[in-house]
Amino acid sequence: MFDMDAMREAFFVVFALDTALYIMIGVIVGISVGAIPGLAHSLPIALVLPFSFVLPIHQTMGLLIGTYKGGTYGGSITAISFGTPGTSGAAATVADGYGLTKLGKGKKALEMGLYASVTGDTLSDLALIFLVVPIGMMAPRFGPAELSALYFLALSLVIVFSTENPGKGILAAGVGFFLAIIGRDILTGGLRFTFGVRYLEAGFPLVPLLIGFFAVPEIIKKIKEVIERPDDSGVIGEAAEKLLKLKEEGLTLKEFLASWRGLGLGTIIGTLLGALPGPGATLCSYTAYSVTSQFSKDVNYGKGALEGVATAEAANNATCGATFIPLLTFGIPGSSIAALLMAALIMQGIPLGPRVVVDHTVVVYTLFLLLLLANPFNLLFGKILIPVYSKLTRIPAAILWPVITLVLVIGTYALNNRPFDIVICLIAGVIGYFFKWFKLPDGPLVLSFLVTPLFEANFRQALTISRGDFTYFFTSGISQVLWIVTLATIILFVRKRRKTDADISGN
Amino acid sequence: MITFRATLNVKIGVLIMLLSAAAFTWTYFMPLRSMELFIPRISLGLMGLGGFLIMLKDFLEPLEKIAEPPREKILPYLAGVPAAMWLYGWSFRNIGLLTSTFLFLTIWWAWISIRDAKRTDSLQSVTPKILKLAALALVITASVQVLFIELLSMYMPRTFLP
Repeated sequence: MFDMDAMREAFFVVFALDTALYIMIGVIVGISVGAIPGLAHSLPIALVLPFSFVLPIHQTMGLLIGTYKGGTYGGSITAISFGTPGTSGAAATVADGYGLTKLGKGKKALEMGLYASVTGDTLSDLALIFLVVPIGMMAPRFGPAELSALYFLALSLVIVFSTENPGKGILAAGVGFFLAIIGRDILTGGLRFTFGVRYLEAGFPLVPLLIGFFAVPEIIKKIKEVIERPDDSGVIGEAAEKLLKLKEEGLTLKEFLASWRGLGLGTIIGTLLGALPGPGATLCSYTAYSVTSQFSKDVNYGKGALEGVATAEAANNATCGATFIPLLTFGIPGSSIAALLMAALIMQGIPLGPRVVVDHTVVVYTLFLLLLLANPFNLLFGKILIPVYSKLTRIPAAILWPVITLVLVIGTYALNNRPFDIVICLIAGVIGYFFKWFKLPDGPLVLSFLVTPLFEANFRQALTISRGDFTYFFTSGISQVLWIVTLATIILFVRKRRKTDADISGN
Repeated sequence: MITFRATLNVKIGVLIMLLSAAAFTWTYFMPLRSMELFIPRISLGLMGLGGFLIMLKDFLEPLEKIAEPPREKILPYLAGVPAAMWLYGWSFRNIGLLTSTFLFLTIWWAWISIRDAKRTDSLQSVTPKILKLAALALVITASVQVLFIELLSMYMPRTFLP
């Protein structure tokens, strides 16, 4: 039931100079830290969390939400400019974003990343406001069997959509599965494939893995270019001369609107998956990216298409609002960042759960308004910072890449203050180079790495509940629908592939 | 029709199949419960299947459609760059963040500048260039210190040099 008085109270609290100032600080910190490879944006959120003790709730949450949104967008800046995702959520942006930068269209890609992020974010916030109750009612109906089916669907989508050679997709997914199971068994604590290395008992950490997987191959490539072909490695991209002589063109409204499919699918998938506990921004953006690849008419999709950037960025930012759905309705934090936001609310004396909307209506409306207000700030400061970052790509490679390399090593170490994370990053880098060289798709690896712990936990939980009866996975209506969608997608993909192959042979 | 070809794809596919088959067999000798090994076996099975399909694709495809991975010399870089990154990670924790960052950047830029100067026969102007780059290294080192140590309070072990 809408409470007009509570909304009025929340409105005057949020639309005040002090709140705007804290959102602004949060956005600037978020974008800046998000753009540093290795530093997840959960770090600045954790750093500003102690302010909850001294600041009132609207200022604290303004600061945290600003940091969250700025950080989620900030990860795309380095993903587009240097092929190195600042945050794991921006990993899906690398292929098209960096592809565009290499073609001399870095500014367009950065602007598309910003506009798509803000669009996805705003729509997801609106979805949160209007759908918090209905989606919240759906979430508890996803038990272990339904979640297993959902994760299986996400994995199948990425494997079948991500490559022309299914063998390569399956191999990439297998590697991702394998890396994810290294360490302690999630239920029994037994050690799996640690080879006696104590540091591996905690498993492969996500951020060093992704940073190494995406950034180290690019560093190797650039250093090789600098040494072997010093004349060609002045600036990033083939359009070096053009970049230096001409003013780089920005994104036009027509180009932005032409990516409506990616924006729409990214926002919808990001909001729906983001509302479930577990998936997170990375999984959402990869799933949306893979689904859009089937509908996109852009032949450069996956190599340097604005639609690819729009999809990935809309999806990862769409999780920002959606994360609050399980958080507000059931007190379930869907990700580590949501857990930090939850901690801030608890420190402010707000018990999250089904009654929060009734008992703390003003606080809930304040959160809604803060989420909406942070978007224009994200747009404004993103726009201010884009020229700075697009100029960085014009620095000679011999100067720029060593600096990126050192920041990456320190950033990886700074995340957990664990030297072994640097080793993980380098191992992931070698794997990443093999993937690039052998043209294996990166999506299945990243997605299966993320999904495996969730899938395994739910799968084994379901088997324990059903006492080993596999039919349990197909009993509920939700899981039946999910299995049918999975099967239908695979059949449709195979038929489409056959048709495409037949057309090519015919021509 | 299946035509047997020993392309690089086929060789890598076979190698992956053999490795995953060996690891799959090894799982039966591990002191773990079958449920603990369920997902690992799926992963190894997927890798083996992937290797098999990669191999099969090259057998079935017409020869002109087969895309082989590039055969360029990459091994020295693949070993050297990660080794240098690890060395930097070791040195900033054991020698000092400021010293190692400054030294790594300056040595790299000085080496590249001298190489370029020799190539373009402009050795007489290399010293001012190196000095400028050393000043830039100093600025970057200071920024790294401010960002990671002062602002983000990154833990640093006690080192002999700063």
